[in-house]
Amino acid sequence: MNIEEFIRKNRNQLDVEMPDEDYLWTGISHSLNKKPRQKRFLILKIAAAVIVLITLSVTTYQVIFLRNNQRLILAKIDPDLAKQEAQFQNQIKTYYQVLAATNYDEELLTSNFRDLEYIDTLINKYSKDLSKHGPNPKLLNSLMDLYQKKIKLLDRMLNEIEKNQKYENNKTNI
Amino acid sequence: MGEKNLETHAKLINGARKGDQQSMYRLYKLYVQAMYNTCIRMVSNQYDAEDIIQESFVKAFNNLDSFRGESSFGSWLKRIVINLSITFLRKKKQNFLEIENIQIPSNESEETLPQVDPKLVHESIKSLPEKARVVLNLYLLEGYRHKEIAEILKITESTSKSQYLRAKKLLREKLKKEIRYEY
Repeated sequence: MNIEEFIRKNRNQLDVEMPDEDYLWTGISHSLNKKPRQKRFLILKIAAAVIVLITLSVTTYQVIFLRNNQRLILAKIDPDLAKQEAQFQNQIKTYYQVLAATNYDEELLTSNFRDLEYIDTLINKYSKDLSKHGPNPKLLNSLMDLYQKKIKLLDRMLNEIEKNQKYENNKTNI
Repeated sequence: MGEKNLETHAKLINGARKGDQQSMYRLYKLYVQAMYNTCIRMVSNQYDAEDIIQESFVKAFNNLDSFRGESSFGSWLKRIVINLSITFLRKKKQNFLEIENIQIPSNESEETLPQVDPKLVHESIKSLPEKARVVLNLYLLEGYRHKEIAEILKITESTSKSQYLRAKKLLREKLKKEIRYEY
């Protein structure tokens, strides 16, 4: 019998080694049990991703809602302030028309005109800030305050002119 | 395998497919020794063989859905073991392409052999040089044809044949030496 024939004939008897079956099975079962764990981990990962997504959605919703709310609040404030501003501007316009109709002494009102110029600068600045940063109630109130100051100043100027004219008239009568 | 055995076998495979570890364990017990011996003859190292066997069973149990029953479960499992063993040898930088095409007269292997202990044959196969050992295992013990071996190992068919003849020659010499030593 040659070697080929011997091996073919005794093939099954060649499996002579006995593996450490318990040791090998421990490793196999450990690896097999890993899979569900990985699945569970995957489920946990998906769950975590869903939670993050929900949290982000809620946060985004809240931010948008709050912003809308802010816009609503400002919109509620805005019409009144806008109405007030229109009234102030009309008053200012009337004061300027009256002022222009009077024959006032420019030298007498120089400091007043400087104050008016300063108020106008602040009004322009606040208007720019409002368009840049959005409607800010504090800023709007300051703007309204400036209009009131401008009106008071114009009123004082007209009083001054009137007083001055009365004085001039009295002096002429005398 | 008897009809009853086949039925039990099919039940075990179905159970294992459903993830039943008891069925997996019983299949493991049925095949582990044969698979381990095939593997150790391929890689010639106990620890490497143990790793490959564990990996093979895990791979088989995790991929039971791809087992269609066209061949027996044992053949399917053995293919996994052999493939993983070859992958392991490749990773060890064993380049089968480098196998030299050695011309060995085929009549040399026709010499008759006295009665030998199968254990001695098994150990002698394990001690063969790696390239020759793999070809001999695949051709003589696992029933692969030289054409298949050439495809698996990415070598020419004639290289596979030459390596087989070389392996037989070396094995015969080893056995003769061992027998002389024993007696």
